[in-house]
Amino acid sequence: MIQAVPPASMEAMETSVSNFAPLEGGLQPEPALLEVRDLTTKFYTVDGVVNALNGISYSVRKGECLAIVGESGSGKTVGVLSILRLIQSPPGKIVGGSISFKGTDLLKLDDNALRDIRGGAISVIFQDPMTSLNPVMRVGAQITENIMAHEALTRRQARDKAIEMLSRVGIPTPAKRVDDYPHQFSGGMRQRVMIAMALSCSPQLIIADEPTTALDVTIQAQIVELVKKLQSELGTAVIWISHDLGVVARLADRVAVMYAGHIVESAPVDELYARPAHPYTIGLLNSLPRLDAKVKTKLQAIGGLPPNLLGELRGCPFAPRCAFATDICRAQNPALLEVTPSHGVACWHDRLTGGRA
Amino acid sequence: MSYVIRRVLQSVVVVFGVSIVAFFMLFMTGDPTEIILGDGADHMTVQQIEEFRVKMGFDRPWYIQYASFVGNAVRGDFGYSFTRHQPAFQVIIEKMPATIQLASIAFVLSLLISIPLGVLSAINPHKPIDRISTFVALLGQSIPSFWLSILLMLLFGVKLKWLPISGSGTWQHLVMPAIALAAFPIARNMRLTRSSMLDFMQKDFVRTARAKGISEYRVVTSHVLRNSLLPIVTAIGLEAGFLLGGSVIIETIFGWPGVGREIVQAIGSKDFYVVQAGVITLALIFAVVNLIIDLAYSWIDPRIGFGS
Ligand SMILES: Nc1ncnc2c1ncn2[C@@H]1O[C@H](COP(=O)(O)OP(=O)(O)OP(=O)(O)O)[C@@H](O)[C@H]1O
Ligand code: SF4
Ligand SMILES: [Mg+2]
Repeated sequence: MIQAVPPASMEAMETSVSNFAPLEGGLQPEPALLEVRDLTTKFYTVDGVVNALNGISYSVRKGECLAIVGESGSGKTVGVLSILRLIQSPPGKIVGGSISFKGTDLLKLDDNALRDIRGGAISVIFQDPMTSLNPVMRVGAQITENIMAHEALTRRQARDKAIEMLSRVGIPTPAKRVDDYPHQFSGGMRQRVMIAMALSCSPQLIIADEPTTALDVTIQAQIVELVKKLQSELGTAVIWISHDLGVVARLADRVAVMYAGHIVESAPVDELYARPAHPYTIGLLNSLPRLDAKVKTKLQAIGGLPPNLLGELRGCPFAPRCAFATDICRAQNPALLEVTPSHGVACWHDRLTGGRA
Repeated sequence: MSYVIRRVLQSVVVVFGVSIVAFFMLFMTGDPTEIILGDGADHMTVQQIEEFRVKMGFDRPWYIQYASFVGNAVRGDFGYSFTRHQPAFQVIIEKMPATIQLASIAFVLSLLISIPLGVLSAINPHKPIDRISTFVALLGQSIPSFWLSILLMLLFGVKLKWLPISGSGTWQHLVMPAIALAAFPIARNMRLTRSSMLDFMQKDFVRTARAKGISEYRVVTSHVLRNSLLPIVTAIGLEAGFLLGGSVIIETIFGWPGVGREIVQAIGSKDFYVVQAGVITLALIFAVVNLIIDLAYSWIDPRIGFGS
């Protein structure tokens, strides 16, 4: 009896086709794993509406590492937490856009379907390992809980898997440590626990929100190396938020620069470092001692302050701090457009092509 | 283990302190000679009364009397009740079951109502369920318990005649005193649960929990509530004292034959040793309950160890 082709082999066919697809020239690009379009998130606070995210668009491919950089308050965290609808609500609300993950719009999923994605296909490593783990729950239980939400395993099996994950992220004597509480671990070890948790259900995308900022420098480097190694082993895509352009240079395939809830520039990492086009990006890179520096530098070297996001902004948000600002900058906000293939800039007078205005 | 020993020693100090204060205050109100002698004093000369006073030891300074009381008490002798003509400690022990019954029912009632209501309020902030329970809690916290007792009596006892006004014997007798006693702890624990839950719901680790894809029920119970219990358990420790102390008023109003009412009567009749036995017993129970709560606390919060 011959039946219709089962969906599994259909998938297999599709995969094999895309494997043969030419990658050069972008003629038949592999469909993106994550495709964010015009994502807009606002906070309705007592002081008024905070326009935290003003229509950002980007995509992440399978196995790719996208870095998001920008000053504090530029909307990096809100941007990535919106993907899993994890922003605090109220006051936060995603008011527009779409988030297509493997073809499904996450913004349209019901709570149950969204929970399947959270911690499953997409997982998060949060910024502060000191506060991001439940202080009164054994770390093993916290990992096991994640596993059991997504895989049909017994408690025993899930625990074994948790131990395996702990050993994979380099925690010594994992079979013992699995029964410890978070306060019995150092900061770096806690972040390893977070990573073990995030990897426990073989996600296709990991969102890492400044996972090393709270740690000291040597531990930071260890964590970066760990993620890099796991990423290449497992082929997981990563969105890595960072203040640290040194780390970004080592880790990322692409970089998106955020300013005041907008992506102002987006390019492959070498391209961005070699030929930055947006005045803000140039400012950021100038604040580095050397472009390929391993020295950690905070993104603070540009004069002036980022705009207050309370209420509507007119024109380019960077205009008050920009040396190249003209009347059109103050009147109209430039859209993010490609100046060269795969290099997008939102600037009327970008430094690469001389501008569109 | 040294932690437990230290806590026990602390409790002993507290019990001593309470008994000294009670003894001193009672002493300040005059010695009990006249009351003990009663009408008999009318037929005695001043000389005879003075001899009686010396014989009983009431002529000595209060701290000497206290010292001899303690000397006897540690040997299990709390003195003799002048009015009941039996050992003071026995008077109190006989009243214990009634007090424990009332206090524990009020205690269980308060937990069963306050914690679920607090949780419901916290997960539905500013919704009707939250507004109603917050309002009721405000009432419950501001109405004095004697006033609430009288209102209950008037409504359910006098007007509707559903429940007996005072006394003991059936479960109906327990209803009003238990409610009157539980009202304040219900209100306070409800508000505490609510605010503690709301507090913890903002924490980073709750966001982590949500990011794992576990059910919202699990997020609320094993992450938010479990952490919120810490401040609640502390409050419960204080509540044991409140219930025992509050029972003095409630027992007196509802004629509930417990330790509290006995102490009040003993104060009225200057029955020194009964007051002492009662106060010390209540303080002891309070100390033991607090010790248990402390142990529970370190069980809930792994960051607190017995060793440190
Ligand atoms: N719960 C909230 N209520 C009101 N405003 C918020 C809330 N969370 C974030 N915001 C606002 O959204 C904007 C973006 O914040 P976000 O946390 O995304 O910044 P960030 O780029 O991640 O900064 P950092 O580098 O400091 O983490 C900020 O202006 C912030 O004030
Ligand atoms: S648009 Fe104008 S103000 Fe904005 S960055 Fe470009 S030049 Fe500067
Ligand atoms: Mg952030």
